[in-house]
Amino acid sequence: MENSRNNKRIAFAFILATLIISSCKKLELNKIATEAWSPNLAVPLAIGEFGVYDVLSGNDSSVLSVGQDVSLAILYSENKDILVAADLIDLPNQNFNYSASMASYGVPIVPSFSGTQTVSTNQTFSLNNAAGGSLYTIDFQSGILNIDVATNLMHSLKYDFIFPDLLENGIPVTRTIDLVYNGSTPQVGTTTVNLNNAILDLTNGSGGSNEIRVNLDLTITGSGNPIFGTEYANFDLNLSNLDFDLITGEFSSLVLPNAMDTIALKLFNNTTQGTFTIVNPTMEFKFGNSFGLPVDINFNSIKTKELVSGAEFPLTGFPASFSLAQATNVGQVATSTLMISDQNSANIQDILSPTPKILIYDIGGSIPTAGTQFIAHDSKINLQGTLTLPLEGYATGFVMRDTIAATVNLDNEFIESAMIRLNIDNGFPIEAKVHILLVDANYNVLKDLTNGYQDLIKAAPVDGTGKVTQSAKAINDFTLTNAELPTVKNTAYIIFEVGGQTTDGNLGTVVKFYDSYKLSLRLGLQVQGKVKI
Amino acid sequence: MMKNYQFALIAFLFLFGIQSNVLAQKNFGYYNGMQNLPQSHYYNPSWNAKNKLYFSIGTGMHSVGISNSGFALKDVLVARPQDDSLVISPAGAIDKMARNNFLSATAQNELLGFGIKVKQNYFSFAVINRFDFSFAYPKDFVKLIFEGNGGSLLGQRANMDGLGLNMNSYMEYGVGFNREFLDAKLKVGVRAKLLSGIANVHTKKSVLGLTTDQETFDLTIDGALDLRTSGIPDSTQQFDQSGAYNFKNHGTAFDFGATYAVSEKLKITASILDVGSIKWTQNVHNYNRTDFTYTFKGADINQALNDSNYLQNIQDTLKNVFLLDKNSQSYRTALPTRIILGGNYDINSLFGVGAVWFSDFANKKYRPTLSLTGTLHVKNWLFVNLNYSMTARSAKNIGFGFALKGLGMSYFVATDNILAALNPAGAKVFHISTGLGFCIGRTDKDKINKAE
Repeated sequence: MENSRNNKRIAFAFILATLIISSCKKLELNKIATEAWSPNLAVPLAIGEFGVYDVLSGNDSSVLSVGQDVSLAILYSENKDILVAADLIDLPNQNFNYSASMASYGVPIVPSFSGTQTVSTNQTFSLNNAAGGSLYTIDFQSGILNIDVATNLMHSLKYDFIFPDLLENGIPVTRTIDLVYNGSTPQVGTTTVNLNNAILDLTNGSGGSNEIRVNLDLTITGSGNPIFGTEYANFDLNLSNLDFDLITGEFSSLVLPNAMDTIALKLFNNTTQGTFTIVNPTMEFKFGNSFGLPVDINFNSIKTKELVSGAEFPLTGFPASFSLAQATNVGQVATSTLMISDQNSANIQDILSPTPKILIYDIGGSIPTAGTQFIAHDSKINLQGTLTLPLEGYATGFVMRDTIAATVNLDNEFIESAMIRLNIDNGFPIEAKVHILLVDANYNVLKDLTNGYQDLIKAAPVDGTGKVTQSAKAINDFTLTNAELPTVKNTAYIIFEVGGQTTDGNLGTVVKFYDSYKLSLRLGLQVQGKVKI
Repeated sequence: MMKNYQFALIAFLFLFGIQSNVLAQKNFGYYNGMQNLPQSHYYNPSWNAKNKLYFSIGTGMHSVGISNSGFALKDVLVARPQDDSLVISPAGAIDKMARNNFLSATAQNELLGFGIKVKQNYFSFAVINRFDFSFAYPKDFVKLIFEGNGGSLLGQRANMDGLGLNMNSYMEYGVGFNREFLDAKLKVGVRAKLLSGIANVHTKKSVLGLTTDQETFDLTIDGALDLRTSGIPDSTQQFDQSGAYNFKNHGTAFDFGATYAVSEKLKITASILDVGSIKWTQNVHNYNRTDFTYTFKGADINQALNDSNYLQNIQDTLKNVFLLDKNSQSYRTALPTRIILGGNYDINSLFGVGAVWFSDFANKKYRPTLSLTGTLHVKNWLFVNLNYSMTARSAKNIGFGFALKGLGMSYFVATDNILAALNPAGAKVFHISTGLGFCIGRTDKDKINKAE
């Protein structure tokens, strides 16, 4: 009986315990509401390591040179032919004519002439040399000599021309024009001399210049008609399409045209403000002269120019005149170099400090008297101007601005916000505060990504010699909120405004660049997602 | 003391090399409360029904279970303060998780059962279909999915080691024997089983980590994989059920059990189940990736500018990183061996209490379960069992079962978590077993008891 009662108690306890436990609050699954799944994703986007060559050299004329101590200099160079043969001398088309009567030739007047008679004349013509100078010889590369003759003599007439100073294969050129009388006048005739490879001596035998000699024999064969003495026997010499392989002469009277050239200084391309102090910049002007004549070069000006403001900074105190050596043989190039540094100029550092965009030099010159000279067809004066900027010095307050076309499309229904992380490990002795603006196609600012200037690039410290001792790291995050994402979708350009200086440039600390310097850039993206579930 | 005991258990299991990645069926309410049922033989071979003869065809025992060690539904569905609507809160679930968690399912179906008592001996035979499934999901794996790598995982390795799937499906053809010793104070039993594998997925090795650099967001992925499968059809094949009887994937296993009556009221029990293995040879597809580490630092600007094929090269590299070697070599898997230790104390002839210590391994990790039981022998034809278990890092499991005997039949229902039926959202574990068998004839002892 007692057992039965106990059992009932135990059974009751079982049931009660079960009911109590099961009375716990239960979930009502029909009340599940929509909620957002918000994962946060972080991914690396890009990595890049940039050396000095990546940063400073481009596809323009600049070249980086490595010095003996492995320090660097940036070389800007331009090469230009400042004078070619055609600038100095030109052989124009020209005409020489001779007109004379039979009497002038010494032909007797007769009522009827049936015999044969030969008369002669020697003529000298002056070459039209518009450029000036005394020409002694011309080796023709090309050219045509047309000989035209005409007479109203009522007899047959033969012209025998001899050009004693015009040699074809070493032999004086001769031409004959035979006019056979057929009862009508005037009688005309023509012949041609191809001047290819012909050589013309213009010295009139010796000592002269610019003169062409012609010897003519006229042979009359009588037709029974009278000779009145007034009949003419003319000839024209027409020189055309003249070009030369070589001209000798004396050219001191020639006027050299002025030449100007510019060198773009890419280093300062995007710099709008700032001061650079560069240690030991140099300008090298290297002339190559293949003319067989000396040239006295005169620098009219050397200056740098800031293109936006138009401000010019002339170089002073440098050797303005400079004599070029001449080629002694055809095909030879005589090299002459003028180096300008702070040793032979007054302000070479100063004209580079205001971050100019171009270097301009304007050159004139003259030819001194120096005996027989030559000009070959391909003679020229070549000038290679090189500005060498040793990457040693300091810079302060430089401001650069650049705009790149870009799209920033992070507007996505699954993105709540985005954060772009820029991680820069800088091994250059340069620090930069950067202001990044996202703008639309009309340059309206959509987002000030950096909220003003931020220290994106920290300067690597340098030792007493200006060499970097260790890199400097900077991590910067740029956040785009949910409200901003639709706006920045319209980004068409990203504007970078950079203000910077070299390491402690404001204190005048000199830094030196080496080709081992690197800048490591890492770009990451962290996205806060929102997916309705 | 308890630590020493656990250490001994672990050492024992390692010594016998009995490890598996699959969790086995373990209806805790079944063990102590249903000792007199014929089906109790499957939990402790030293047990058997009190009848002379037992048989069943297709109805003897069906047991299914599911457990999730990581979290319960209520952990992930939380009420919104403003309107008591439920919102999905992965953070709630993550907070509840251990470093490694398991979603497991199990099924055990007796197709044919037979048992006969001959004096002190009991002989049995059974054909049972077994299915065990386990998906191991590390906490960081879930964190990575729901929080992403930019949250709390930023700057550290998302440790997804152990992520994997394990599944075991096979037929068990077992013969059992037990016998009484020492005037029936001691009973010892054994079941020998021939196994025919149907399908298997075995994640032998799974290492996976994703490390996100805190500063640069560089992603470093490391890992290794040794995944073995058998009987899993690919897209061109159909599922082949012949593995249930053709023994091409063959194996053997043993169950051992013992019961010792310390006194008339106190009994201690022990069993070791599923000591054995299966060799998988049919339709084998193995996938292997040796240890690898790959770091993605972002697109290299210098290379991208100079090499038009750069992005394609990145894709090719990633493909190669995750490229798996494939082979069809046969392999062997151990069964998920369990060790069960228990004790019963009959307070009186109608009511008894007991405690059971289950031990099993998953992914080389020891997973203990403690179950306390109360058994009410209401009538000769009615037994009621209530049990409380601490398992899968859950201490809210109350099981209930009852058994009916009469008219030559026995019927039982047992669950280890009746609360799951009443409040599914709060449950992490739920197993239910039921069975109907024919029990004919009483043992001599029963007859004596009856006469008394």
